[in-house]
Amino acid sequence: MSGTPIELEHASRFYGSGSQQVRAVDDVSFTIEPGETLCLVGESGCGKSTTGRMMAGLLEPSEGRVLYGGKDVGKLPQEEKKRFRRAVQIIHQDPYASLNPIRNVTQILSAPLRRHKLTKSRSELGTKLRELLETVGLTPPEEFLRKHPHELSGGQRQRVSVARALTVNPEVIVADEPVSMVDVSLRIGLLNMLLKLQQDLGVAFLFITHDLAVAKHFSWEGRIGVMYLGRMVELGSTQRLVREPVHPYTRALISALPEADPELTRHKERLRLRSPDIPSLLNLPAGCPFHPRCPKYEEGLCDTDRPAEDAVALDGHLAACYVAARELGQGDRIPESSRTAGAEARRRTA
Amino acid sequence: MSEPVGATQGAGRNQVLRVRDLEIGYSTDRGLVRAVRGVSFDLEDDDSLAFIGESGSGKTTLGLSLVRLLPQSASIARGEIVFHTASGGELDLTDLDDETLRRFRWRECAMVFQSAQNALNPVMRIRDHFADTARDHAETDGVLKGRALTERATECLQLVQLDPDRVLRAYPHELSGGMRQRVMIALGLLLNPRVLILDEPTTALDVLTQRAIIEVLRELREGHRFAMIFVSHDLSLAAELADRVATTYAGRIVELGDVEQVFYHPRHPYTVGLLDAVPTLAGEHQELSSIPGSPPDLIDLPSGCKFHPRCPYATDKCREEDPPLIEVAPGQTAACWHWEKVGSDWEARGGERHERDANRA
Ligand SMILES: Nc1ncnc2c1ncn2[C@@H]1O[C@H](COP(=O)(O)OP(=O)(O)OP(=O)(O)O)[C@@H](O)[C@H]1O
Ligand SMILES: Nc1ncnc2c1ncn2[C@@H]1O[C@H](COP(=O)(O)OP(=O)(O)O)[C@@H](O)[C@H]1O
Ligand code: SF4
Ligand SMILES: [Mg+2]
Ligand SMILES: [Mg+2]
Repeated sequence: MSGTPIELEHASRFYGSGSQQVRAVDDVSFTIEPGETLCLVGESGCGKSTTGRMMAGLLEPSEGRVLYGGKDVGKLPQEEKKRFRRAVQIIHQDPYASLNPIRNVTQILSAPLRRHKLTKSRSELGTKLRELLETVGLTPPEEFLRKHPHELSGGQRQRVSVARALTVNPEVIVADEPVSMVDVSLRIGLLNMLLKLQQDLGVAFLFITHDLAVAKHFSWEGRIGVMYLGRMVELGSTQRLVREPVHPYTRALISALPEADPELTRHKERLRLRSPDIPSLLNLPAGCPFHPRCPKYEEGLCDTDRPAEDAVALDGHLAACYVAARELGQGDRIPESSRTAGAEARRRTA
Repeated sequence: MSEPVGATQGAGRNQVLRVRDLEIGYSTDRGLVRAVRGVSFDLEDDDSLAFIGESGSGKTTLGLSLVRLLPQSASIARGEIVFHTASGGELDLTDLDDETLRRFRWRECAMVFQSAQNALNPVMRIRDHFADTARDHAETDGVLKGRALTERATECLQLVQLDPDRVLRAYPHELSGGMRQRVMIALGLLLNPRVLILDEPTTALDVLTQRAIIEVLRELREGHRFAMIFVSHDLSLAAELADRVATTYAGRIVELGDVEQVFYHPRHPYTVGLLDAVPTLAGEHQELSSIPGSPPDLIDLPSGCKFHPRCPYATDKCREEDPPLIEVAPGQTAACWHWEKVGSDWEARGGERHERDANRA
């Protein structure tokens, strides 16, 4: 599969207007390289799906750009725009809602093949359908070709959604919580199937999940981005992020996650948050948006400037936290205003 | 049906609940859905028991039957649900009149429903939800009201770490999902039940909120003498909070034991399959595998062991005869003809697993 990087460049997306306007995604930048896997994790409402929809060209950024092979997607000529639309496919969380209930599997899969004139004859179509179903593990294909969505289990339906995305030979699949509505016993099968696509076909993934353990499993060789209130607070290789998280929010998530192992989960080190409540996007705290909950909060330093997403930058591992920057010897990346405010606050309390 | 283990009473512990051979079906156009099949277990007054299994395995139906809130289409075909009341009597829930039932409910046994966060009436303040619960379930002469009600509601909200002044005045939409879930738990505690059933209490909540709920439940368990039943597809909830775990498959308990036994020494292939299918965050990358096939149609169950179409150990015997719960270790039972082989295979790769576990620390 050909490789064209897709990039979000300072992309933001606003919803609502006037005093009700929220920045659902605020100044997020990252690139998906050909064949790469990036997982987005974070709490409900932090902007994961909005980010995914911008990357898939389903939503335009309010500010910033989406670049396909370095070119602004908003300004691509008709033909290239079509190519981009095909190159990025999206799979949704709810396979019930995304498949037309009155179509059978054959009809669902042949529509895009016909529309994009990807198969020339009936027999070629038949072969392609069989191949697609085998790729997504629906075997033997004959058993599934005539079935309607309601005759399939949740996991099987999600496989049909994946097969449909594959009809147009995408370069990137944006998978938005593809396993969260699927039974526990079938989840891993679906994830392993997607991993195989990535390995065998070289498809890149933007994989959205609220479950860090799933993210770790899916992108062990890839990267994880942690979002909080519309911002990317940490972005780095999965193995490093899971073992040595830098941002206090990532640490909080990791320490809070219940694990399916009694000894491990009952003796895990816990971080105590200063507040359990997540602030509203309508009323964001000044400085770091995590500061009202953060166990590492320092007056002045944390509530003056909003930390840049690369406040910490260690061999491509990024984190938006000034306290971490100072602790990791990158204090020079803290702006003067925050440093002064922090020093003053310390003097006052001393 | 063999007596489940743990039936004997330890010193100072009292049995609160005894369920025997419970059979519940839903009548539908397609036929009878056999949602609960021959379930038996005991519960002591400080026990916490988790039912785990995938969706559709009958967990919610079982929970609803214990508070006798099954929908019209459901019927209890067989079995007994016996509560040992605080006053020392026995109540068989399967034949109670409505009045006794109303008094029983919420005083002896309360339930926090699945998707509880959406169960609150949107036009009622939280205070009124407490008043309603008190009115509906208390004995006619001793209704909790006025100052006493406010005091008890305040106490319950504090137990779940909510600010009573703010929350009592609030409408449900003014609270976050996690706060609503905690309100539902507080409502469950209102009449001081001896058994609290929680159906998927953390499902659909964010990790940090899940953690807050788990800590609330842990503290409740440590500070108060009442029994809890958790019902969830999430193994980690059981790992966090349960003393004993029951794996359920197609309406039936297929394995029951202490939490360490079930997680570290499972003897049923379905429990093994579930454990192998769940990723953990700690440790190295794991090879995970899913259970092949999908759960059976409860209207048209397979012959013999209901797990046989998905089971790597299945033999002809499994296809013909449904295995009973067999005692596989003191305090642990499993319904599998080949539990010894399942166990020795697990322990053979267990060396690796435990080493990995040790390395995680
Ligand atoms: N069409 C819309 N109109 C107004 N607000 C929206 C719209 N879509 C999303 N939002 C808001 O934008 C924020 C981010 O939403 P988004 O769906 O991207 O979150 P998410 O991280 O995918 O959450 P979840 O884990 O719940 O799926 C939320 O506050 C949401 O309420
Ligand atoms: N009101 C109902 N009418 C008919 N069938 C039902 C009803 N409620 C549940 N069922 C069926 O009973 C079985 C068990 O469901 P449930 O107890 O909700 O399982 P779980 O909580 O383990 O997901 C499922 O097959 C489900 O479809
Ligand atoms: S009885 Fe047979 S089919 Fe059933 S779980 Fe045991 S080995 Fe598998
Ligand atoms: Mg989303
Ligand atoms: Mg349920």
